[in-house]
Order: sequence, then C-alpha cells, then structure tokens
Amino acid sequence: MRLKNRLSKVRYLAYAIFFFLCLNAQAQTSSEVKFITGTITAEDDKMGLPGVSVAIEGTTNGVITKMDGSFTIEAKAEDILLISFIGYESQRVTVGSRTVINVALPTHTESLEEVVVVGYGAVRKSDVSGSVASVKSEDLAAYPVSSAVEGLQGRAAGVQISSANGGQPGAGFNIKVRGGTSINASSNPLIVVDGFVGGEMPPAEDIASMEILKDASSTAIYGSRGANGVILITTKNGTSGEVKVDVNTSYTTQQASNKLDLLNGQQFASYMNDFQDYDYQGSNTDWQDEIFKTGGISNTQVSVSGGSENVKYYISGTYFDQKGILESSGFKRYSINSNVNVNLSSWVKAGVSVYARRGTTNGVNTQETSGGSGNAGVISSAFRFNPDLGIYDANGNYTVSTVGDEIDNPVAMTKEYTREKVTDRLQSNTYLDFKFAHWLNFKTTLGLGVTNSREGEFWPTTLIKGENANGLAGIQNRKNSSVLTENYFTIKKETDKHRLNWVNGFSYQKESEEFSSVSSQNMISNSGSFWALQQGGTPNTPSSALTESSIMSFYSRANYTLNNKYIFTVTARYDGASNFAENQKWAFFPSAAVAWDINQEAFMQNLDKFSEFKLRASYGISGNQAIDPYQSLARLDPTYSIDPGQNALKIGNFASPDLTWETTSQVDIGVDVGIVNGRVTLSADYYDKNTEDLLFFRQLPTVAGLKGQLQNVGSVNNSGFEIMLRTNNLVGEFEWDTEFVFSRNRNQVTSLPDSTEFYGNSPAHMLLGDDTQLLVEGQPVGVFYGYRYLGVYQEGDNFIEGSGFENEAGGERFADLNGDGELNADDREIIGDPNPDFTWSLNNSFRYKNFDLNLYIQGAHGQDMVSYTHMELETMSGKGNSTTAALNRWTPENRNTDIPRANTARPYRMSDRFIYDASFIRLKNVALGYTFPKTAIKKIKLRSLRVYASAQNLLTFTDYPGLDPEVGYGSGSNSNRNLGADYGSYPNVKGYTFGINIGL
Amino acid sequence: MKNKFIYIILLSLGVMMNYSCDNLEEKPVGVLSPGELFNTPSDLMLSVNGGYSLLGHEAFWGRKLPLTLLLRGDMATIGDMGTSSRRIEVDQMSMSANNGMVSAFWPKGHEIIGAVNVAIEGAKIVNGDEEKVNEVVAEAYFLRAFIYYNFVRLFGALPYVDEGITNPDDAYNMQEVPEEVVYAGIIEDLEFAKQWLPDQPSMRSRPGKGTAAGFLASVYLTVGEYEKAYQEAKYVIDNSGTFNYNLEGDFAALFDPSIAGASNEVLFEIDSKGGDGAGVPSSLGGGNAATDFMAPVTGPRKDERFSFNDGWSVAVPSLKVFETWDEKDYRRSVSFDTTIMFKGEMIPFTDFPTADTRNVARPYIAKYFRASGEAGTPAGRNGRDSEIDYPVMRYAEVLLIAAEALNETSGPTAEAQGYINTVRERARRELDTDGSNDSAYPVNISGGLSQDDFRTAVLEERRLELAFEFGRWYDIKRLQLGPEAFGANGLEQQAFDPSKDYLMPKYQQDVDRMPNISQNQGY
Repeated sequence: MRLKNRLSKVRYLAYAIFFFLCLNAQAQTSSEVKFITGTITAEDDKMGLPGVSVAIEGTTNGVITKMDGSFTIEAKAEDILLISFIGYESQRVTVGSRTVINVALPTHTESLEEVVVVGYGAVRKSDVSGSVASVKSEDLAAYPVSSAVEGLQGRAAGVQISSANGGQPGAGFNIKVRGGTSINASSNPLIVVDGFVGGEMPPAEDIASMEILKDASSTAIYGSRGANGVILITTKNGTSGEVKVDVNTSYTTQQASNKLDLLNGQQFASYMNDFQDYDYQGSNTDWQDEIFKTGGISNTQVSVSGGSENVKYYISGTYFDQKGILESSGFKRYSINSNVNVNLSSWVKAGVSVYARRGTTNGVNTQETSGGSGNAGVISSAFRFNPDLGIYDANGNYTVSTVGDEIDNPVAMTKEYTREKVTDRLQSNTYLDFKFAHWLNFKTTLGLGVTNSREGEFWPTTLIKGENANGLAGIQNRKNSSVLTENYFTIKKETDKHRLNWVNGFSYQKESEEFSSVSSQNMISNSGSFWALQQGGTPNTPSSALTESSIMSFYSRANYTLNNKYIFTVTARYDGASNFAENQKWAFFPSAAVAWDINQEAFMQNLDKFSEFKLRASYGISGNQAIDPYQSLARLDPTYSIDPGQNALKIGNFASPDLTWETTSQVDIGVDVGIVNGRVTLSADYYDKNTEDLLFFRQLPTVAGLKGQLQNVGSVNNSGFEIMLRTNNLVGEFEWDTEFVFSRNRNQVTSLPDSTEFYGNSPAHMLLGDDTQLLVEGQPVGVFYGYRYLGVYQEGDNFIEGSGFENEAGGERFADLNGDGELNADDREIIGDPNPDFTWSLNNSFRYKNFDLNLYIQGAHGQDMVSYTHMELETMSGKGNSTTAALNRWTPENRNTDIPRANTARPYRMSDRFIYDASFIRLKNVALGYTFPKTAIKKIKLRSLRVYASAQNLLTFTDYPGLDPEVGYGSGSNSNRNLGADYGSYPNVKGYTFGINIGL
Repeated sequence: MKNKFIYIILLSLGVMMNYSCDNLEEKPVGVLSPGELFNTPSDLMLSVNGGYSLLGHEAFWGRKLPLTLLLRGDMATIGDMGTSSRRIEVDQMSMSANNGMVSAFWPKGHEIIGAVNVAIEGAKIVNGDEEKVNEVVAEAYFLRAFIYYNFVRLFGALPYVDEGITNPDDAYNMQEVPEEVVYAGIIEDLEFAKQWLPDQPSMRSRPGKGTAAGFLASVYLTVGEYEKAYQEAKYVIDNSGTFNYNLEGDFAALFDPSIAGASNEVLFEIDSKGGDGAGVPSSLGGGNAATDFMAPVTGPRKDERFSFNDGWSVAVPSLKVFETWDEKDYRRSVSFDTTIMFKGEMIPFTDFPTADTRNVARPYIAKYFRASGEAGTPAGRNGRDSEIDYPVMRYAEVLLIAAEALNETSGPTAEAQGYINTVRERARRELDTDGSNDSAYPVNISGGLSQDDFRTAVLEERRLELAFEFGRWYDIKRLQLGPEAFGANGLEQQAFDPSKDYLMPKYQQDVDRMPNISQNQGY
C-alpha cells in the first residue's frame, strides 16, 4: 500500500516534469542580416497604423511605418524588434527565421505606468514592497462559476479555495490565504469591494481585477481583520468613448464524472446471505444512475459602458442558472451592477456603485451529520440502499431499505424533500474625492450593505423523518446590515529622486444581524410546505436574535521610494472593536517593508540580462477578530423545560474580561525577477506566520459546569513558499503564454493550553465518537487519529484480545501499538494528515491567428482523506450495500485478501484502512475559441465576436477511490479543523460549455 | 472655497469620531446576565428548571446513564455486538479511560450541578422571604445530591463542587475529596431538602420531603449506617399518608405511559414527554434535550407490533435472569417481552434472530419498549421520544430499604418481614383489585430465616421487583458482590476484577486538565 503511494507520487512528478518541459523556449538560428517587411495594424479594427516606430532593440536603428502601416527594416535573426506607438501597447518581437512580420498592436488600457491596487489606494507596480498577487478578470471568468471565488481557485499562489460541499450548486467556499491562521475563528480573508470592507464580490464577469494581499506589510492597513489576508476587488468601470455593449453568454451541460462500483441486486442478495437468510427482492436498481442526471448552467451577462470626459458609466446584468446533477438541486443568480463616476469640477470627483443580487439555492440533503434511521442523505443512500429494491413497492409507495438502519430511498429524497434558500443582497458605495492640491487628495466614502436571506425546509410524510413528525416544516430569516464610512487623505510627492505616497485615514463600521426561526410539525397535509406553518398542530420553540458590533479605526501608510531603487513602506492601524472584552477593546497593528530594485543599479544596467530584479522583505502584525459579538460576557442560556409553559436556564458562558484579537506576526521575503525582456517573470516568496493568542474554544474541566469557553490561548504557525512563473514562450503570429503557480504551506499547532484536544467530525450514526481527530502540539491542524489496520486474521494467527475486537480468522486485525497484548483505545496514533504538501496550477494559453486555446491544470499532493463513505460500504457488517470489494471478502475459500469476512457484529472503526491519498491532478478547463476578423463582422455591425467551446474537469488523475478528491465533510461549520473527510459529498462534475461573446 | 471644504470635512470627522468612541460598548439584546437576573425567588426557579431539563437529556437520564447502569449490572448484557464499543466495554468490564459513556454523562452531570449551583448562589443575593427562597433552592440541593449520589457510587473520590464557579481557573485548581466527604455533602444537601421541600410536590418529577428522606435512607444504606437508613425509611412509611405514598395496585401500571399522572408509588421519577419536539435540532437545548432512548435500545429489531417501528437490540437480559425467575411471578411477564411480530406473524424469542441477525434468542426487556408500544402514546420513531416516566425511586424500594436496614440492626423481625410481604402481596395481585383471583405466587416470606438468609431474600426481592430499573449495579457495588454476580454461577459471566471494576474511570479529559485529580486504579 505504502509502495503504491510512493509510485503514484513518482507518477505525479513525471506529469509535472512533462509540463515543465513544455516551457522550452523556441530554438534560435543563424545571425545573417536580412530584410524584414511587414505591416503594423491596430488590433481592434485591423487597420494599418502609420507612424509606428519599429526599432531594433539595443541599437539606434529604426524606421517609421508608412500610411498603410507597412515597413521594411534590416535585421538579424536574433534581433528583437521593438514596436511602439502612442496609445498602443509596445510589443517586442524576435525576428527568428521570418522575413515577414505582421503585428497587431493592442490599445493601451492604462496609459500610465501599471499600478497595483492596495488597501486605500494604488501604487506603481515598481513601488510595491509587499506580497500581492493579481488575478485577471478573464481568468476569473474563464469558465462559468457560481461566484468569483470559485474562479479564483488555483489562480494565485498561496490561496487555497475549497467548496463547503463539492459541486453542490450554490455551495459556499472556504478561502485560505497562506494556510489556516486560526482554529476556531474564521480563517477566511477579508473581502474589500471597491473599498467596501466586508462587501460581497460581484459575479466574476463584473470584476476588472482581484488583488490578494498576503504579507503583513500589505494587510496591516486592515489591522484587526488583516491576519487572514485581504482580497481586494476592483469592479469594471466605463471608459470615455462610444457606448459599448457586450453580451457574453454560455451554456454548459454537466454530468457526474464517475461512479462507485457497487454490488448489483443479485450480488447484494448473495452477500446478505452471509449474514442472514435473505431473499433476493427481484429488482436490480443502480441508484447512482437513478439520482445522477445531466445538469447544466446557463450563464449570461450583458453590459453597457461608456462615457464622456466627465461622466463614465458601467452597467451590467447577469443571469446564472445551474441545474445540479442531482435532481431538484440548483442555483440561480440574477444581479445588476452599476458604477458611475463623475468629475463634478476640476478638483472634485464623485462616484456611486450599486450592486443588487438575488440568489436562489435549491438543496438536496447531502453530507448529513448523521445517516441513521430516517436521516440518510441522497448520495450516501444511493450507495447504501438495497440495489435489489425498485423505486416503488407494489402499492406505489416509495421503498424503504430492509437492511441496516431504515433509510429513505434516494429517489424519494430528491423528489419529496424541499429546501429553498433565497438571498438578496443590496450594496451601494458612494464616494467624494477632493483634490485640494496636486499632492493632496481627500476621499470620503459611505457604504451600505444589506443581505436578506430566507431558508425554508419541508419534510413531507412520504419521507421517514417527515413521517416521524407527521410532516415537519421550518423557515428561517436572517438580515445582515453593514454601514461603513472611510475617510482618508492621500499625500503624493514625486521628484526624480524621491517618491512618497502617504495615506492617513479614519473609518467606522457598524454591523448588525437579525435572525428568526420558526418551525412546526404534525402538519395537516403534504401540500402546505413551509409557507403554512399554522397547519402544523405542534409548533416547535421559535427563536430570534439580534447581534450588533462596531469597529472604529485610524490608519496610516507611507510608501517611500528613493532613487527608484530603495522602497520603504511603513503601515499602522489602530483598531477598536466592540466585540472584545472591556479591558481589551483597542489594539495597534504596525508593519514595515523594504524592497531593493537591484535592476535600477548601474552595475545591473550594464549586465542587461534582467528586465526586473527586486528583493523584498517585510514584517508586521495583523489581527483576526472574526468571532460573534457578546462572547466575552457571562451568560445564562435558555434550555428546554420539562414543565410546559415554564422557563429553564443553564450556564451559557463565563465572563472573559480580557478576550481580544488573535495576533498574527508574519515575515515575508520575496524576489521578483524578469529576464528575456520581461518574457519570463518569476515572483517567489517565503513566509513565516505565527498566530498567537488564538481565539480558541478551550474545553474546560467539565466540573466547571460549562464545556468550553473562548479564550486567547494557543498558537499556530504557517510557513511556506510560493512561486509564480509567467512566460511568453512564443510571440508573434503563434503566441504561447504559460503561468505556473506553486504553493507549499506547512501548518503546525505550536502550542495549546492543554496540549491535546480531541474532537470528532464523522457521521453520528457510525458511532465513531468525538476523538477521531485531534489537535496536538507539533502537528498540523486536523490530523486523523485511529488504529492501524493490518489486514485480516488467518487461522492460527495470534489473536489479540480486546473488547469489541474480533478474534477469529477473517476478522479485522489491528496493530497492538503499545504492545501490551491487548487492543483498546490506547492503541491509536496519528494516521493521516489532510493538509497537502504542495499545490500547483499550470495555465497555458495559445493564440494562432484568430484562434485561442487555453489549458488549465491544477494539482494538489500529499493530502490524506478519510472516506466515511468507504468505511460504511466496506466494513462488511451487512448494514447496507457494499462496493464490489465485497466480492473479494475473506471466506474460508478466499483467504488471500485484506477485505474482512462478513460479520454483522463488526463496528465501524477509525483506522488507516479508510484513509486514502487524495492527491490529484485535474484538467480543470480546456477552452478553444475563435474570434471573427473585424472585417468580417463589420458588415453585421458588430464590434467584436468570439465563439468558444470549453470543457471543465475533463480529466482527473488520482488514486482516491471516492467520486471526487476535492470534497469536504463538515467543513461548512468549522472549516479550519474539519479537513479531508468525505461522506456522501456532492461531487464536482464534468462540464461542456459553448459560449459566445458579442461586442456591439 | 477649498479651504472651507477642508474645515467642514475636519469638523464632521471630529463629530463622527466623538460619536463613535462611545459606541464600542456592547449593549446586548436578549443576553441574560447572571448578575442582573436574580431578584425574586421565582427567578431562582429558572436555574432549578434548567437542572431538571438537563437531567432528561440523552447524555444523562435519556440514555447514557441508565444504559450504562443496565449494562454494568448482571441482569442485562449486549445484544447486537455491532453496537458501539463504548457500550460493550461497560458490559464486559473492559472500560478504557476514554470510555464514551462516561464522556457523555460526566460532563452532563456537572452541567446540571452548574445550573443548580447558579440557583444556590443566586439565593444569596435575591430579596425575598427566606422561607420562599429556601423552598426553591431546596430543589437545587436535592438535584445536586442526586447527581453526586450517582457519581460517588460510580467514581469514588471526586472534585466536589459545592459553590458556583464563574472563573475557569477555579475549576482547574479543584481538589479531589474522598468518598466520605462527598457523602457528607450529599447528606447535608438532602437534610436541607428534607427540611424545606413540600409534603406533596406539584408533580413527582420534582422532589418532596419524602423524596429527600427516601434518598437519605438509600444513602445511609449504601454507606452502611443501617440505623439511620431504617429511621429515614420509617419516616417515609410513617408519613406515607401525608406524602400520599402507597403501592400501585397493578405492578404493570407503574410502567404504563398512557396513565396520566404519576403513580402514588413514585417518590421521584424522570418524566419524558412524548413527541414534544425536544428532538428537533432547532429546539431549545439542542437535538437531544429530554429525548429518551431507553425504549429503542432495549427493543428487538424488525418487530412489527408497534406503529413506531422496531428497536435496536442493544441491551438485552441475561438469559439466566429469565430462566431462574419463577414463571408464576406476575412481575416476570411484566418485565419480559417474549414474542414479537415478524412478517405478520408472532414469533417466539427463540426465533428472534431470524428476524434480524442483530437480535439474540432471548426475551427482551419489556418495561420500556413494549410498555410504550402497547400504551400507544406519542413515542417518536423507534420509541425514541416517548411518554415513559422513569421511576428513580418508588415506595416499594423504601419498604425494602426498611426491611434490609432493620435486618442489619435487629435481625429479621416481624416488622422487617412485613415490609417484604407487602411488596410480594402487590406482586400477587393481577390486573384488578379483586383479591380472590390473585395469584398464589410469590408466597409470603417464611418466618425463622437467619439474618443472612433474610439479607439474601431482601436483595433478591430488590433484584426482581426493581428489575431493569437501573439500580442493580449499585447493589452489586454496595455489597461488593462482583465476583459472585459475574462468576461461573452468576447471572452473567464477565472477567470481573474487584480491584478495578467497582469504579468506573473518571472522565479522562478532566483528569488530564485538572492537576489535582487522579484517575481510578487500573484505568
């Protein structure tokens, strides 16, 4: 088994090397002088451009194009033509063996030097001293995604995105920047949309760029909320000029990418006869085929943009409609996004952005927390349920399982159960920008955001759970509001030797959440649903809550560049937050960074090898305050009363008068290198992050009368390195660009108050207990804890005693780790680590004439996954269907196996038997597009037209035996520590997309 | 113009900051602060109610503790061997220090103590008539004594929390006290309760004077103070009119959840509400608040008799209990379920495994699963949310305590014999109050028994009368009967180690966290 794992690693390495080899630059040839002719055209209208400078780089030789854009020049094969023209982006073209060189120049989108958005402003790219990753709009929207976060997956080094429930339409995502910095508080980064802290990301199609701030120097400006990294979103804006209308639409069909090999009806019946007299029930139902259907996504965006010198606008509407591969699961999103910017006078600018979105999620029950009697979810039921039963019995009722726990059949669950969540988001942000002097700006913003969500659920009596309660319906409402004002001065001074960018500001933000939940049971009929709770004869206890919090801050950042070579950034934020204890409301978060642009040094200019060479170093402190309000206060909680009509209380919390932020200090050392005239750029960073005073839910001695309390104790370390390599392998007529992203993070618990904390994250009906995972000093968060499986006992083996353990041939054999001759809970150890050793992605883009091709590959290696699905299917205790492994189970005739014999008394047991290497390499997206030539579409009055076809998740290489190595279980609620588990999870799917982009 | 703007901006910033600075104080809505809540005696009742609520939780009397007591004794053992190992360990005397039963009811019990200690601390600050305050907190003292009385018998020496904890450090630093000190605390609490509780509580899931006295009798019997045990039992018997205690006419009626109100025989019970929605995850106290599972864990699998479906075959009687129990004893038929319905036909217990291999060929415990099924009261799926009232102490036990204690101090007197015979007399009564058709069995205890034989007779009477009512293990422990009960001639054979198995492991995580607490020997 171990050897197999190692072999598979070698295989992955081989794949990786293969992809690296693809990066070979093209061959170079002779060096004779020859005449080159060609035409320079504008990329957008394909018309010849006169007056363009065509020069040989590094020389004074050059020519100017004629009226039709044509030119002639003498050059050698190894020469590089430098083509430049005002208003267009300059191009470098290597001559090579060609004698005709035609170049289409793209228009210059940003006529100034490239800038990078950072917190509260933007700085020149060359002046960046911290670690910031940028992701382009077209990468985020490369394939249809339910949210821009999904599109971010794999695009930025050090950023890990995982779905809370695999491919479930509308599922939430967990984002980790440079590992999980916390254990109990959120590790999700702060999201800032056009300056609105905590705003909602608009759909990927409306995003112009996404910047991920990773090191402390970049995030410290967000102080107590910066420790998990910050994602800055810049939405699209209009540009002056003609009205542009863009229509992007695509349709995707989706299907499950694979199935588990399960016993069929007859095989199942024969297997069950090992346990009891069992009669074949006559059917042969493949439940996976019954529930997994073809799904699809319809995704459309229409945008209108344009403007005059003084007013610029961008208005966009999107519609995303996904039908899940599981019947009755789906997600729909409608949104409107508009940005208007106005120059009120020569020195006052104003702008308003409004974003409105409705999302509707229809859910099925998957990843159930317990799959016991009446509680199974659709997917796990499709695996467990008798394959020898049909969907309906002779009376036309849904069949119910006849072995193990009584569970609903999967088809009944997709058809009968209702769960609908509707979320409305309204977000607006308004600003005024005053330019008091050419060096002094003041900007004030007012942001308002409201999210309303309503979730309804109904279990009719046709399902076991509904039958128990005689119909069960509930509805929950939640309203989150946020008001934010930011006010900051920007001082910019630039001379030849000095450049200063200094931001000073103040902000205040208030958030509130309103919540109510009601449910009733004993419903009159199955037609009522959750819109008729009054038809439930037995109302359940209702609940409602209001929480409010506020945060107030002062911040300052100075970015100073000396001689274009030495860059210094000093940042500080002073934050006060209401949700911390009385004595600990305020904290200070400083950081500093230095960078040295070596390439600007004279000795480097002579070398002329590098287009960029910058060293960066930063250190700083940031915080995490992501806990609910009121956690520091002593509290009594209401509880169920045995005396109807009376109230009852229990201890809810003790006061913690010193509860405060988690504090993360981070060192970052990085280098940015560009060679071959910027055709190869590399950005590499090493970081070391220590999070101390964790907001840790400490389990108290239970004699206190309270299980645990949030305290500032314990620490976690994340360290690692990241590489981002961009290469333009081929330029010219046939273009080939490659982006390679590599991240390695090592997560480690460095101290805990009680050195070990056990916890569980397993389906409750499997009775594995709450000690299958643990936190222990020196290990990463989330390691698995259990027995070592040694295969099956054979006749004559030395059986090791232990209550609940088997002592017979064909039984499961476990290692007596402490060697005391007895098996018990002391014979467990750490048996797996769900954290990957490293992750990477490789994005190859090819363009030839009007065709474009994109190949996007992702990989993750070394992470373990515990499959409770396989534990349930392969324990061979006859509680349901099994995988075809059952055909190889131990019998007196089949002894050479590691699958135990059938034994009804065998409990589920956490062991390395069900821990798998979940490393994978996935061809995430392949896209082939064709852009129609301008001349062709001019006749039909179009500005641009592109059609494309793409495929998502076409190929996956993995040894993981489940449906999908990229799923999680229990990660929705406690995403830092519930890692690497699979149980009845909604798998990611294969999709084929056809799309069209039209410009009017 | 510009300058004016700058002034306006600076001014408004100043105003805003001023406004915001005051605003970092939390003004929570709907958060109950213990410091401000307690003003009147009825406010204290809220925390006492919390104690009752937690008592019925699945992690305590809803399943974990009674199932542990049932399996630990010699009357019941594991049916389905595929059940969780934490249960098997309890039954087979092989508990690990991390046993999952203890890790449920130890914390839950301490949560109850925490809740009632809030009331006891609150009593010190409320304004109000001292008598009224004492009447309320007397229930808190009783509940605290009840938990510790269970815990001291299960675990021995304990950290004894007799005041409200508000600072976690105080919990870390607690000392362990020897059993005698815990017993002294229990007796003190029960004495207080006895003084202040009413003669007749509003319901029998709350204690009255007699309840406190009955428990005092039980505590004294356990610690071998027989004179005091006798006096307390006698006090209950003498005042049975005032307290409204008498034996239920029909033994089976004690376990019939369809009878409204508790029997007059009950001194204290844990009263579950069937189908009360306490099992709904969104309800107060979470998904398992006041949800009792003793019916399904003792019920047979694939039984089709009842609308709530089958049981889970976890705890089943030791076969010898059935075989050695005289079939003429009416109580045997009330205690055992010998037939189930499978595929529409009634099958005898010898065929139970054909219905499901996780069944065993023995009669099943009838007091919960069958009783609830036949009553037809709301019971949730598998009977997991039933109307069952779990008697914790009933008048029959008080009579037997009196008999046993009297025998120890004065030998098998006529009075002592009379107490046993009263219990037996009721056992002879069948289905009606007409004495003429009573069964002849069990016959009255014969005179002339030696003190030892009488002791054995009382103990046997307790075993049968209170069969499967979770007290047998405590008798085995109290009288140190382990080797005998689990030996070759015992009802159930287990490898019993007297140096270890009389005590269960304390909750290991607390042992790890608390430097002054040591784990019991052998764990």
